[in-house]
Amino acid sequence: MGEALSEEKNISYAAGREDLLLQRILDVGDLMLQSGAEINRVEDTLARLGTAYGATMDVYCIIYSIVVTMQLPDGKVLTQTRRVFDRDDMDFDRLDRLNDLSRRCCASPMSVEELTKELATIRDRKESLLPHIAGCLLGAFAFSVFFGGTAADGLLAAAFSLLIILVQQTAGKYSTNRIIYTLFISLITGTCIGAFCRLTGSFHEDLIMIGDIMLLNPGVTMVNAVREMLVGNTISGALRLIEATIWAIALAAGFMLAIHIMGGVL
Amino acid sequence: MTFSLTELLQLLMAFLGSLGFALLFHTPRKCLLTAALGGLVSWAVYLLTMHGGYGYMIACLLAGIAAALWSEILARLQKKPVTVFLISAVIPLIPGQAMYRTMSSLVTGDLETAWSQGVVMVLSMLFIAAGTSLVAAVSVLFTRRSQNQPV
Repeated sequence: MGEALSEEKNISYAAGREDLLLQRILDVGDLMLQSGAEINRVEDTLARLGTAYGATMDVYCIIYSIVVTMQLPDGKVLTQTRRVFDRDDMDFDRLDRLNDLSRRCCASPMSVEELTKELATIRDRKESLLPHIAGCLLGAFAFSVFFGGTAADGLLAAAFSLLIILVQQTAGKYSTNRIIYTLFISLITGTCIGAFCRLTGSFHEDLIMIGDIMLLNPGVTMVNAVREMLVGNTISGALRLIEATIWAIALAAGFMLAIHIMGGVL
Repeated sequence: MTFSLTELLQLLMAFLGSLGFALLFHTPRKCLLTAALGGLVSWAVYLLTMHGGYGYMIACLLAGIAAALWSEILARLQKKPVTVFLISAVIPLIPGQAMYRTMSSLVTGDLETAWSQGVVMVLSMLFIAAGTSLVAAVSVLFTRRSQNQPV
């Protein structure tokens, strides 16, 4: 009895605008998926959010789409779906903020306006490029040395990672097809590394390439995909795995082509 | 059991590499260090298992478990999603070298090496994923007990 009372109080935060509330809940899920959250986590968060507003929730989510049916305390039933676009920018800071927002919202439900405002702040937040550059330099250097390169190889891998950033920041903005884009970026990087090493002749071409491959490598995505399948999200996991495999093939093809070209020319 | 000098260097690089990826994925500042340490922990477990005379598959499995355990613990201590730590912790285990070798031997037409390296690559990833999801399955059991906690 007491429970029903508090539920009615909660839904009053969004009285008459439950469809807007549902849109905001879908926004949360959409942004979470884009930031690199696990499927279970997204479904769980959305269900909790709706429950906090007093609704009975039915949430289904795969990597490209979210479907939510919300049954309100007065018996009204709302369903909305959302197409989720993968923008390939894992962003744990954003994920953390979303988590924090939903935790606060579950503890004390916000009005729809408030939720909209908070979500806009999270969505429009701009990250500076500096940590990205630092991450690329560090990652390329470390993994080149990790797999057996010398310090010089590592530094070169780091230098060529700047080329990757350059391509990402210019051509990447116009990319409409991830496969072609991956092929393009790996071909350019591979050719430049190959040409440089053949001309100077004193570095380990393979280890420099490995350092830079790690940056573009969909290996993490693959491991995550298999993990999704093993925890029961078979469709999402399988879709991701197929996607990541195609990217890996494109990546390999780009570097292979580069090695091949270099083998012929120099 | 001690690490050789090369392995110590590898451990340092695992840490730095994980730190690099943590930066790349916009890890919240106060988690950067712990996320990067996860990479060191998982690689240390990998090396120790290899020292123990087990194959790379067992090593990947145990290292995957270690990475996931580290992430679950830190996620609770620092109140962040598990993914934040897990991705960085798993990075050093990704078989970048096997991938490169598969590729380059395909170019040179050495299909035998391509096949054997390809198998290493696929199995490594499978066992890392198995290790991490094993921990995920167990941790779900524990969280179900205290279901009433928000998120």
